[in-house]
Amino acid sequence: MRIPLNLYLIIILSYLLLGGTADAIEPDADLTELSLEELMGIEVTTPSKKEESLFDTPAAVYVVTGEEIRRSGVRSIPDALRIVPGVEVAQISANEWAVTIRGFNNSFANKLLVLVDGRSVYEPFFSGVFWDEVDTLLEDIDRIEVIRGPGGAIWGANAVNGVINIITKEAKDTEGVFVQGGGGNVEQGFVGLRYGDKAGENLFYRAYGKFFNRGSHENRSGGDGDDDWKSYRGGVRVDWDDKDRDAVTLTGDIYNIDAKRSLTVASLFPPFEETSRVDNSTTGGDLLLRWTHAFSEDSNTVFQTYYDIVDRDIDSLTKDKRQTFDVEFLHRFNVNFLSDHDIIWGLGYRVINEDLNGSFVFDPGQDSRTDNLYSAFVQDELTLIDEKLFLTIGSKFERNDFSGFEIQPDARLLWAVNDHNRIWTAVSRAVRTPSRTEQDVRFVAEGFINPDTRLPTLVVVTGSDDFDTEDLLSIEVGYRARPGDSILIDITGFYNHYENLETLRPGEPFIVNEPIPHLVVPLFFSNGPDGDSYGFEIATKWSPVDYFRLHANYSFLELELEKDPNNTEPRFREGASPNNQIKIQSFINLPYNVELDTSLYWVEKLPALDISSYTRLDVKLGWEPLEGVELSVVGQNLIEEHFEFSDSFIGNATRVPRSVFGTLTWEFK
Amino acid sequence: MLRTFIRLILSFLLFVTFIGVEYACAQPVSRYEVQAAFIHKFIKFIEWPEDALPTGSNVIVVGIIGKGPMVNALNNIKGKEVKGLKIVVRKVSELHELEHCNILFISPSEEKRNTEILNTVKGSNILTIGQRKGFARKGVIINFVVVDNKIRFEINLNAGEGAGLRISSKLLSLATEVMR
Repeated sequence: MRIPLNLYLIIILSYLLLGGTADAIEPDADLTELSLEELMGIEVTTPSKKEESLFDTPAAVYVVTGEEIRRSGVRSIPDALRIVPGVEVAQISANEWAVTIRGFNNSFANKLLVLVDGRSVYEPFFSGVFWDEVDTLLEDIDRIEVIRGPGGAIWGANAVNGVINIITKEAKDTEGVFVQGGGGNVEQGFVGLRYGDKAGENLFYRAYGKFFNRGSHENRSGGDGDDDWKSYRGGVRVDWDDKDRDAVTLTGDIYNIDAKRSLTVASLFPPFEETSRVDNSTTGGDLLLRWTHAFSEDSNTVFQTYYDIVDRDIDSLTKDKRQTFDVEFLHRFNVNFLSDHDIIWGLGYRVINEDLNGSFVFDPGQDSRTDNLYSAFVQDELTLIDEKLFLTIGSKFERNDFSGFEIQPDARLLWAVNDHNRIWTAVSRAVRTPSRTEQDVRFVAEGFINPDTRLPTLVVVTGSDDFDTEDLLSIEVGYRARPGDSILIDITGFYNHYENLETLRPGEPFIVNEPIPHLVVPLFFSNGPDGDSYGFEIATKWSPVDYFRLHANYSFLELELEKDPNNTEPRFREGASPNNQIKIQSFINLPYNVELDTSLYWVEKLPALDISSYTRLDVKLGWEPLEGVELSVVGQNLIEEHFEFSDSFIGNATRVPRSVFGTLTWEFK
Repeated sequence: MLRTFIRLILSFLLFVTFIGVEYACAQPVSRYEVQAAFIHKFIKFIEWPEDALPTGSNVIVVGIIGKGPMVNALNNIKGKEVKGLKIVVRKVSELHELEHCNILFISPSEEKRNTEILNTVKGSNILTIGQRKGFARKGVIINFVVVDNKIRFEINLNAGEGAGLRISSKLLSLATEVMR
């Protein structure tokens, strides 16, 4: 039976108007009448220090907390990002995602920087993120901070449209034993383990391990999508904090991913392309050390260094080994000169070595290459009018081996209208720097028979030293309101102007005689047209009563890329990003320790990729029969099986299935 | 598609509306309102030296330095009477105004000036109250902390004695930590 829409509205409205106020506590309840003991028993809402400072941030920030990740029932980081306004999460296949902010989505979306505990996971060779490699025990995540808009002034190159910071909990917050296991139709078994303890007055540590086995999706013709995968991962974190001046954090992870991919590669012989099930095995690890030292309350330094190694072997494509060593230093201090200044400056150095093997379709140009990145950064947050008006100006200065010197300045103004309202605006420049792919590589994109010459023809995407940085100039305006303790509204509008966007410029075709005579049509990476994008995002968090929380987010995006008659195909197309997205999440506590949590996403069609609009519904029902024990059932994508993106360079797209799994979690000290 | 989506959302709201009726629960209270109520109670359980409270005026001055929601929350206790003293709430921005307070709440926004503020009130009979981790260790007499979503407080007894205040044993026994 279909209930008419207006009937729903009548019922809800009449409840709100008539009954809605009946059971709400009178706002004037006098707490001073209560005794000390009674006061100590009252549960309070506490905006954390983090939330307080987020409210005062002159940038579009959205935070997904570890608790929200647990309650939404997601099993991967990209799925946890679906709720964030302005973020586009498209699952390409079981083990591949395209994630971006404010447009330009791709399996390697190159205008989004992603960091895990301060370590960049943006893959410099491919200019993007391998989302199957970005993982940890999800219960160890403290929060994911998503900054929409340019972050180049702080984070440097490639933080063009946004930055995602995945931050794990301190070891002192994960004391005890954690055991988790479960499985279902797509999640074909997963295990998570963690042990954390105190090893001294100021020393805490934890170690975790996890494994999962995920089944394959269906391909376009309804057959096996050949994208099943397994992932093994383990790691440690040690925190030492003398509670006064010094704190040291050490983190390390190792992982192995055994993924299958359905890969279509071009060939010289009919039918000029081959699709096969290939193995993709990835092994990697990282080690990070961070030392924070406070000279005084107004002056502190952060020294951080990390090493990251990854070895990817994608059959019939490439074997790739990348090592990164990074070291950075930050100093923050406060001075009072005419007004109050919070100054941060820093220096950084990163060296990346990448070894690649070629294949018929892929020629890395140079087998091994080492690149250096030098950076400096300065920012001043000054108080223009006490407690009212704050200005932040800063810039990153970088020198890289591809495009040389880059400067990314940024100015932000925050007006604290009153306790409940903030208005901010920002003007920033950010750049996306070239990668080896765009300067060195030759990649066979397509093969066919030329109808005129009858010659086999290969379209070869070719790197070019001329390819230069893509630039962004962005203007943002934001409004944040906290009309009461239970509601937060955040609205951001932006206008982005891009220059020198990447396109493919056709070159002069030529004949090659090996292994058989064929025609090569080169397409060179080049800087083409300008483009504009504009849009706005609305985020609301509402918790009218302590057993119910609702997050409702909406984003609108319009991309207008200039047409360039010389270019056959721009890398990114207007219709590859949804104009509208609606994201709603609700968390309900029911009696008997039962939690019912629902996430609903509506993503508009992607006409350029032939993807129709879709609705995704995730539901989690959790029950805590005993303290520390949770039994849950999660249904994901319950409404319709659908495609979310097109084929990528490393794998073909598959249909996102309906999925159901059960989980048992046991935690004790 | 969009219609189906709207329908889903409405069904959902309907569902929440109904469980809302069935499962009514207390509205969450902000930590600041509870803290204000605590401050009201502290007056009862703390004794100021006789010369600290101006004779005949019958008021006790609760000062607040810095910005934030605590300013509004203190309005809830304004004008109330404890031990025959009427509570006056005063917003302070300059350090020299501090001396007129009997109680001083230091907002988290004043983190940077914390040492400066404590030095200014040193030796005077002012009950300093904070709500930041580690504040009590730094010399604030009572520091609010949140434990399992409930308001608790730490007491720095040394600082309290330094200010000439007599803190009742009941208050001391309820504190999560008493520093000497």
